[in-house]
Amino acid sequence: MYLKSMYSKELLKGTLTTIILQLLAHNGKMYGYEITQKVKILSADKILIKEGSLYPALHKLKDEGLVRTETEMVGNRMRKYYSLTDQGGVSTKEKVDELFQFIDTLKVILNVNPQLT
Amino acid sequence: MSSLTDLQVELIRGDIRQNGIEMSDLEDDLLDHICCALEEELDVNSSFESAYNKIKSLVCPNGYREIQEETTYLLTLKFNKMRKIMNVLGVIGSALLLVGSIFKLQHWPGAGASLVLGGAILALGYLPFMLSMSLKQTDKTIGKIRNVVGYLSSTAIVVGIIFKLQHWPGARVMLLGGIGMFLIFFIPLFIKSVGKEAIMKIQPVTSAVLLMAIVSTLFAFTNQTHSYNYVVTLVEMNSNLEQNLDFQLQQVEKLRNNSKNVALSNSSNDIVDYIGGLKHYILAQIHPEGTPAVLLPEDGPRYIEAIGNDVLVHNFNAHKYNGKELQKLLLNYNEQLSDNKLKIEKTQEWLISTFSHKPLFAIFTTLTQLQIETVNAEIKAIDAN
Repeated sequence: MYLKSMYSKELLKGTLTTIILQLLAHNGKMYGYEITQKVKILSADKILIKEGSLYPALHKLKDEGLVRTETEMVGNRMRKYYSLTDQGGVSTKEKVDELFQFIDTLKVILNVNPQLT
Repeated sequence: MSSLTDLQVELIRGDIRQNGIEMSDLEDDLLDHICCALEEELDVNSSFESAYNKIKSLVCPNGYREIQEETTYLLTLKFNKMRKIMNVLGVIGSALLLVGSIFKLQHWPGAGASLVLGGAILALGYLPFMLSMSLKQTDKTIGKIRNVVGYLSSTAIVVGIIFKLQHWPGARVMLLGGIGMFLIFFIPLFIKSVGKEAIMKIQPVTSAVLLMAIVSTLFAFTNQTHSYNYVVTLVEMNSNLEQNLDFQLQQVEKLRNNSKNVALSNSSNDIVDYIGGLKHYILAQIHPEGTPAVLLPEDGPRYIEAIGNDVLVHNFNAHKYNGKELQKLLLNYNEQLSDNKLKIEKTQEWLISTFSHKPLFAIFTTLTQLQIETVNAEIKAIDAN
């Protein structure tokens, strides 16, 4: 439900917020559809973010003060752009670092890259 | 890339709203998202309708409402512990209501406490919390009105049940107001704003609480049906009996001059007066503004457990006239009689079986009958001497 992809749901569940934040950090302001497309392209179709998870997550981030929104009229409808707040920038760095550390730890545990012999 | 017309955009917006999206922020997000996806799809699929249905089923296979619910869930995650406690409280509260109703019908002790406690938990804990949670789910005026109406009507129903079963004044107005508001305003507003798909997915706890509340209401309304003509006849019968009593009292007055047993006559007189006072006392409780001299047909079918049970069966100390005192007078009188004793028992069960859970016409008829039997016994005793 969270992310539909070749990876299992459980594996990706905890990473959605970090993915969104990091994308915003790299791209400045983005709108929802753009985020889903960007992830699709970057992951070579391996990770597809479901709308049913993306928007709840974005609203949660906004509620926590990590992202802000600005609206723009596009033709006959309103488009909402999301971007990081200062607090969101700090938080993104922490979350990304944490995820990288986690991946390193996983590698050690799963013995993919044995260094301790 | 194709571009959607104003009409098409409005159609999609209408569909999103119709299907239960009530947060305007989320509505804007989804509208733009669907439009973007749709504009791409329209490049390969020329039919707007089939393209829209395809995109819709891709974006939210389980309906738009699910996205809003997921969002609300995440936004209120910090209240989760609270919500769990409240759900438990809600179930406990309605269970207490139900158990209290059953106890009440069976005349087991503890019914009142259980009902009041259950109602208080629902009215002061569960329902206000549900209101505050539900208001976070919508920023539409209609949604807010719906939630407030739902809160007010369910509170009125719960409080009404308590008042009804405890026989406190105002119960009828609250119950009818609550149920009326629920049926006339809440349900149409609910169906209109939430969308058909979402109705099937009402929270199980909420529905359980609602169901129990409704069952309790039914309990509160049971045993209330007597046709009006039947009641009028019985009330008339009582007034005939009362005339009969007046006639007998005139007869016994003449006999008393020759009677040696003054004590018996005094006791008999006391009982007749006491019951007369008791009737007036009950009428005065029902009509504090102006007490009628006799029982009125419209009061006949009333179940006056509030007053009747209280006065005659349970709460003796609170009333000037009460069942215990009546029982005492009658038992005392029986001791003075050598034969033709009245059928009175010493027990509380006698009071319960004679007076409890009876409509007013029955209680008044019984009381009048007791007066007549008392005078009859006196006449027979004087005749025997």
